Amino acid sequence: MNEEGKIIQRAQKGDALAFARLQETYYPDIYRFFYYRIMDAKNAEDLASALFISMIERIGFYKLESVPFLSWLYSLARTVLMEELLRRGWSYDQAPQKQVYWSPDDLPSDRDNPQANTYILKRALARLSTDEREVVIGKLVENRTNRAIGREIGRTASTVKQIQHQALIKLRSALREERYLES
Amino acid sequence: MSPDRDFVLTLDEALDALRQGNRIRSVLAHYSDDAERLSPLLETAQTVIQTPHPEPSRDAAITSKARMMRVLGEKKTTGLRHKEDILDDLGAEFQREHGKGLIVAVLTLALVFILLSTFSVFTIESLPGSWLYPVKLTLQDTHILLTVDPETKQERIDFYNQLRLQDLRAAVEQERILEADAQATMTAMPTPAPTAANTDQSPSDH
Repeated sequence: MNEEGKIIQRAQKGDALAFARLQETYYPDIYRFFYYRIMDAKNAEDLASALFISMIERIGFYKLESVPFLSWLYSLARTVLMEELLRRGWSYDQAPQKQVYWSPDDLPSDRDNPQANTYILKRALARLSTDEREVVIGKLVENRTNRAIGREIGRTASTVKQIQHQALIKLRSALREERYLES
Repeated sequence: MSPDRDFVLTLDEALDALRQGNRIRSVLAHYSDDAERLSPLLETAQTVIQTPHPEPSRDAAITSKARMMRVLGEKKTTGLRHKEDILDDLGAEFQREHGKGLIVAVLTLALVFILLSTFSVFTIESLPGSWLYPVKLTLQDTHILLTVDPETKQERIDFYNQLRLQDLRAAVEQERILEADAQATMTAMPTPAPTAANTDQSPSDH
C-alpha cells in the first residue's frame, strides 16, 4: 500500500492529522472543480469547504484500489454541487451563465493580467453545453481520462471523444469572439 | 469507420500527446495527414491548458481546514455524548418500567427463603403426632428423590428409616402416639434393600 493509501486508512479510523493531510493535498483541485462549474471564486471556496466536511461523513465508504482518491472526491464534489444548485433553485446548465454574466466580481480591464485570461476562458466555457464543458474541463484542466469523465456525465468513452471534438470547435469560436485567439 | 470518426480518434490521441507535454508542431508532424484540421483544435486545447487556472487563496485553504477540524472534533464529542445519552435513556427507561416490579420480586423471594428456612429448622425437631411432622417427612422424601446416585440414594433411605424409627420411639416414650399406631407406621415404611450391613436385621429389630 502506498503512502496515500495509509493516510486514507488512518482518516477512515478518524485520525484528525490524516484528514488535515488529505485536505492540504486536494484542496486546490477541489477548489478548481467548483470554480469552473459555478464560475465564482467565493462560492468555489465555500463549496470546497463543504466538500471536505462531507468527506468526514463519507470517507468510510471509499474503497482503496477502486478508483483514485481524487476521482472519488470529484464524485463527492458533484453531489455537493448539485445540492447547492438545488438549494439555489438553479439548473446545472444555468450555473456558469448566471455567475459569469451576473457577477460583477472580476471584470478584467487588462488583457496582460493572467486573471483576465482566466476570466475570458470562463466566459468562453460558459457558452458550451454542460457536457461539452465537462469534457473540456475534465480533459484539459483536471487531466482526467475519457472513461472517468464519461462515468461522471453518464456517457461512454467513445461518446466523450465525439463531444470533445464538438466542444473544441465551439470553444475556438467563442475564444475568437472574445479576441483571445487570433482569427 | 467513417472519416469523421477516424478524425475524432486521431484528435483524442493528439490531445493525449499534447497533455503529456509535446509541442503542437511535433504532434502535427506525427499526424501529418490530418494536420490542417488538427491544428486549430490543438491550438485551442493548448490555450486552455496554458491559461493560468485559478488558485484558492491561502486564507481560504486555512479557513477550510480549520472548519473541517472543528466539525471533526464536534463529531467525535457528539458521538460520545450521544452514546452516553442512549445508555442513560435505556437505564432510566428500564428503571421506570421494571424497577418497582424488580424490587418487589426480590423482596418476595427473600421473604419466602427466610420463611422456608425457619420452617425447615422447626420441622427437624418435630415428632410423630406434631402438625409439623408430615412436613419433615416430605423434606426427607424430597431429599431422597433428588439424589441421583443409586448407592447414595440407598444410604439416605436407610438413614431416614433409622431416623423415623427413633422419632417413633421418642413419640411413644413421650406418649404423643399410641404404640399400636407406631407399629402400623413402621409396617407402612419402605423396606430398605438388603445390604451386607443389614441382611441379618430388619428395621423392626431396632
